[in-house]
Amino acid sequence: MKVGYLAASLTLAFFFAGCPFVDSTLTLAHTPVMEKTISTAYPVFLTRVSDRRPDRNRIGCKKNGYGSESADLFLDVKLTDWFGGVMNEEFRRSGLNLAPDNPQAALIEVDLLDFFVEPEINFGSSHLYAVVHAEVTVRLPMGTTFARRFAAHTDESFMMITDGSYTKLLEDAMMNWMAEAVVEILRLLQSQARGASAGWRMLS
Amino acid sequence: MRLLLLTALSFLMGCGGIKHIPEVRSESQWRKVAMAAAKPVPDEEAKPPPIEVPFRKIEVRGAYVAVFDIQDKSKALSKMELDSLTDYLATKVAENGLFHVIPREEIRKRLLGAKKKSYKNCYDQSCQIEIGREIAAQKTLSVNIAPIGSSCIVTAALYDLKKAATDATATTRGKCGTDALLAQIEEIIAKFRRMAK
Repeated sequence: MKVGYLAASLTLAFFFAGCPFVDSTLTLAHTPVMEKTISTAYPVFLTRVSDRRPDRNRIGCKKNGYGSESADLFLDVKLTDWFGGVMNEEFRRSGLNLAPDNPQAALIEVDLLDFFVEPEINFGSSHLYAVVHAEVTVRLPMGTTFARRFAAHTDESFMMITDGSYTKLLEDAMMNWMAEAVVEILRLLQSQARGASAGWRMLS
Repeated sequence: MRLLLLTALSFLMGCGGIKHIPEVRSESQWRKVAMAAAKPVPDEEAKPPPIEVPFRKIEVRGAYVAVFDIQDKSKALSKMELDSLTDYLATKVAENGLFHVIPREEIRKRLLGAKKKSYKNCYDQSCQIEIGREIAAQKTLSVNIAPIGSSCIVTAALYDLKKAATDATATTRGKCGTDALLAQIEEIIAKFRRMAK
């Protein structure tokens, strides 16, 4: 009987070694990336951020020592609200004019496709991967609409993964995404305002 | 033999790699889309997102906070300016009862009593926790100015001494001049004010 208990305990200990069983709720802080780069304050309005992720319930997962998922990661606020707030902040910082009531404002929509952080467990070390992937649609007042997908990946090795590791990876991915997407939106607005398609290939 | 097989299988289970991170890349250019291609969205997502970054509300209003000297790694500020900026920070976070700020003189006395090399040297978290506990503070507030390229990043951390964990952080980025740093400190305070329940 005792041998049976011992065997069961050892088996459990073996399979659940180092298992992070506890779900975590992360608080993400965003370090702004944009600085005022344009002289014309184009009016823009972020009309919506939609969540089109395949798994809308969580923003990441934890894994046990054998690479199986053992717990979930959540965001403390609604992801679309947080994403929209960050984007509005970057628009403001880059010199754009947030003008909801201006009929001349370029309307911007975001469809969030992926926002996830996930570890890959190896012998002796762990590697974290994060992705922010979203499609931006820009509706210009003259009736033209452009869309483009932006993706930002980050990855880093950690000796020991803590909640802070997941937070850092997602924050870095978000910074990279904003740095690329907001700059490209600015370029599009500038090129369209100049009345030229400078560098923009239009597809129908 | 069976145990060996089981062990090998267990290790192989860990070789699944990443499963939820897709191999996606940014598109290289904008594509023009027809107006009719607007996607239908659920009602709750049809409304505009907030103008400001939303914060999780935390129970910090009225807490007794030890505000430590701002650490300036950018060397953009003179000693006097840094001292004034710390005073300004301590005064502003006490406005409207956001925090009860423990007088800086009290922290200074403790540091001198503890025979620290100088009052200015208490920048690391362990020192701030030790002093914070000695003066019976509930939280410590540390602010750091760091240069990154041509910008300066200001980070602030509110540390809960009882929970031994950081309650909230706030970060801003801007130019490194005195006025710009003052504006960044004000932005940090505004963020804490919005977070406070």
